[in-house]
Amino acid sequence: MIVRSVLRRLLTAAFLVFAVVAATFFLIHLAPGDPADLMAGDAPTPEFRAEVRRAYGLDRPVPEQFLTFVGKAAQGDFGTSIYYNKPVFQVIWDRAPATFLLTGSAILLATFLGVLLGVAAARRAPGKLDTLITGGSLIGYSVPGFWIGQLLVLLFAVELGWVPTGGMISARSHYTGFAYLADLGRHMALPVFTLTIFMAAMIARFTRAAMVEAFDQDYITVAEAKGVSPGRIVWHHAFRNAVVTVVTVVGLEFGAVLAGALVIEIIFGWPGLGRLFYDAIYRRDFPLLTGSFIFTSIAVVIVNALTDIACAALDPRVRR
Amino acid sequence: MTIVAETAISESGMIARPRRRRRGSGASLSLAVGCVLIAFVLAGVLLAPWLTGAKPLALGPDTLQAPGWAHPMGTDDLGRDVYARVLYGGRVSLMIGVVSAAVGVALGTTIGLIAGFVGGATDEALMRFTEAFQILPRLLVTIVVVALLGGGIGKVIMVIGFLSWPATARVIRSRALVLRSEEFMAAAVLSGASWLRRIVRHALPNVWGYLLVSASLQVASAVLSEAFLSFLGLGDPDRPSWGFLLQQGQLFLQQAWWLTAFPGLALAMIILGLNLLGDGLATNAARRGRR
Amino acid sequence: MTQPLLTVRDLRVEFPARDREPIAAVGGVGFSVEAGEIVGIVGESGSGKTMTVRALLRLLPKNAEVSGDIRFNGADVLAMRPGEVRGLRGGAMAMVFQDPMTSLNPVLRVGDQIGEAIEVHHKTRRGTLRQRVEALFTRVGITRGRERARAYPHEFSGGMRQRAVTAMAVANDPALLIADEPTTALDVTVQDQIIDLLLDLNQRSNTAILLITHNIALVASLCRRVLVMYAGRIVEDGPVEAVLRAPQHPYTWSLLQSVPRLDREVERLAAIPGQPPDPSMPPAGCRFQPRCRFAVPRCAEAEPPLDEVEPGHHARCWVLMSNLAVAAQ
Repeated sequence: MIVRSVLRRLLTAAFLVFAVVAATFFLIHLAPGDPADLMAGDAPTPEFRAEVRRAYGLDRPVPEQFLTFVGKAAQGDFGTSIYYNKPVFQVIWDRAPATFLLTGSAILLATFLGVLLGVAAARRAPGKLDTLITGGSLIGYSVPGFWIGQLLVLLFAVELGWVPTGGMISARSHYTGFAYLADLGRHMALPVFTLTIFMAAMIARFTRAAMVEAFDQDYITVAEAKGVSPGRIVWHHAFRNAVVTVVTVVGLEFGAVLAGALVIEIIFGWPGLGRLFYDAIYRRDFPLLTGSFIFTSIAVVIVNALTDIACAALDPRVRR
Repeated sequence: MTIVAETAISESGMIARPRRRRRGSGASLSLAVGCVLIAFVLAGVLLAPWLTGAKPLALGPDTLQAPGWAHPMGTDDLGRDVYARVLYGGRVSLMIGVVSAAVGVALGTTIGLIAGFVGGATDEALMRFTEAFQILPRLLVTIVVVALLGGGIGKVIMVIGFLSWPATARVIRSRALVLRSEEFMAAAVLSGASWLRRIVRHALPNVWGYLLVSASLQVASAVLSEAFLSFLGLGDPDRPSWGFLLQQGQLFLQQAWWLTAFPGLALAMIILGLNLLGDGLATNAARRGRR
Repeated sequence: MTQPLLTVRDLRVEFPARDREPIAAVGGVGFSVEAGEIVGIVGESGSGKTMTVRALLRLLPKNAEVSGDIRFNGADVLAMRPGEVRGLRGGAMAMVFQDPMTSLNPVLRVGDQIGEAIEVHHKTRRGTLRQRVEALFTRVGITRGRERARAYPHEFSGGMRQRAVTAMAVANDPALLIADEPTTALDVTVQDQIIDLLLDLNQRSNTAILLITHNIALVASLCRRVLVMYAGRIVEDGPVEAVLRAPQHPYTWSLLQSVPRLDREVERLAAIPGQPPDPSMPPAGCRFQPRCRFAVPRCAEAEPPLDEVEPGHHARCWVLMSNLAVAAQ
């Protein structure tokens, strides 16, 4: 039963990945101009362009091109980056950890904060704390994250000088061990915090809603009638029902988080996939652009599949 | 942002749920504050020619001036008046936001109504399709598509609009499902009303409330998406939107804070206002439906 | 004579209302329950019966204002600190709720939820806990306890869930079990099983039961005494035979008239016309007077007190059925 649903979700994920690859292919061909130009970069020599044509099979009929494209994609071959002159996959792979670090920390922190705030608000709903948290989270996901990032840089980096204005580690230093971690931490503080705000606000809002609904249920009164303590009622009984919502939100908003990371990497000069993506746009490095896009989309699809599976694991009713 | 619409609506109790505790006056406060914010921004944007003599694209001699008498919001690196750029930029941001949201809502409503009323296999198929669509990272797709196909306001509107239908579709569909089982719909069927007539005359008036809520939240989302796109340099320099101004601000962040503060503030106000409006409308409509 | 297990005096439950007097859901209720006794509470929805029993365990909504005197085993329930209240709940006094479908937490295993009822009051080792849960399953008539304990609520039928919920309630051998409409949400066949279960508990463990129901037949077969509530007050109480055979309050009498009977010809089921009063706008005088067939002018002027009509039997009425020349219909 469980195996079947997991398989079904993986299948959907695989289908989506395929759809993404296919869509990218068609986008490239829909783009104005010769795809060969896109792949070869600005002002290529005629020989180079011809070579590109051959390498990508652009002189072949479109359906065959499609198959080649998909085939190569399946092997992780997204072509060669025009700017870096290295296989796209390798360029992406080198930069991915920085983005994982940023995004991963932000998601963990956001989940922690969001859940605590959401539960706190629900427990005291309606009331002053509840209104404060609800209002705060509304502002948190409404105000554009990148603007908040910019403001934070202005305040904490430029004005107060508490943290550096950008980068991942201090460039010319050779820190090791704890000093390295401390340096990394100082650089991470603002970007992670900025990225956290949006997600924490979303999570807080949905956690609160789910908790309020759980509190409304009969089984909570029954638990109270058993003499269960308030703390246990909140976490063991109510939250256990609300946690599915939390996981769902993380999954659904992951795409938005990555987009946010993109912009934040630009603002803070963080050397991750976002920067890569952005630079690829400007340098018109289309192989890199499409490769990064496919890579990120796959990541989103995988994360969604994982959260889907997690939800099924957490809610016994869904398992059938 | 996509699931905010659904939750605002289900939280408010518009979709019938037993034993919902009634919320207090929070809804009217949301509505009020939201409307004030929106009105404020709209006023500035629409009344731009009367609120400033400066032109957004006019170069000037005083570059990177801090806010002062002559330039209430300062000037940028080419001496352009930021105040004027913010006011006129709002026209671009809002126009794109509203039109894209309209496209998305229209598309979403159509699909939602079809899925909800026709039901069966069509519904299943459409819903699977919607789910799949929602998983894709919308903003990233938008960025790639615009980057590949070239910018330009028309294209931006179409892309944002086309990618935003799932949220509305789901909301409208759930409402349609409820409506379908209501008596007056059965009555309409019995009276021999045609399929189309049923939708237009009977269904639409009842999904109106949901539509408005969804629309409000979609505009907020669209404005934000446009800001992202422009911030990444995919906007039109001849019609600079707020996002575009923020990109400029980023370049001169350490020297000229005013280039960042004011456009961002405008963005924050309109998005916040629209979200508050959407939330307030949702709770209000639910209350009305309860009586 | 030993003290009654539970004594309630002048219990009031009020809810504050904006710009007006607080709304009284329960207005001055008093009764007692002896150890091992089965007492029934009968009334329409809105009569205040649920609020009354919830007050006993202090399970009322946060904004409710409770006053009066509740003594359980000599202790003043309303004066208890939160920790003491939690000790009471599920311990010496327990409650079974109306709807079994929503009474169990859907994401926790049934066995764990029953075990929790024990754990909260006595620290128990895991092995012992499992055994006690299994024993409880057997006690309430659920077979294959060991595997059923690992199941989730959605895998249980309605009747099984009600048994499970009852198991939770009797886990610590309560002296008083409050059953709020325990059979209303169940099929007829299952209802019988639950009733048998309650009877068994009463007979074997001497558990007193406070049974809320609108099923008169149930009251007749199970209870020794019955309280009839209307609009937040007790309008009649007494031994079951006395109240059911010769009801003194017109409301009780009307209720009995509307019960379908197999042993008589009845032309039409008599429903009681009208609605219970809106608690925020109570009628002057007797609460039942607007719907009462036998009302006299005095009924609209002052509310009658709960007077003793015969030993142990009280009624709140100026008129009293026994005073009326009404032939048994």
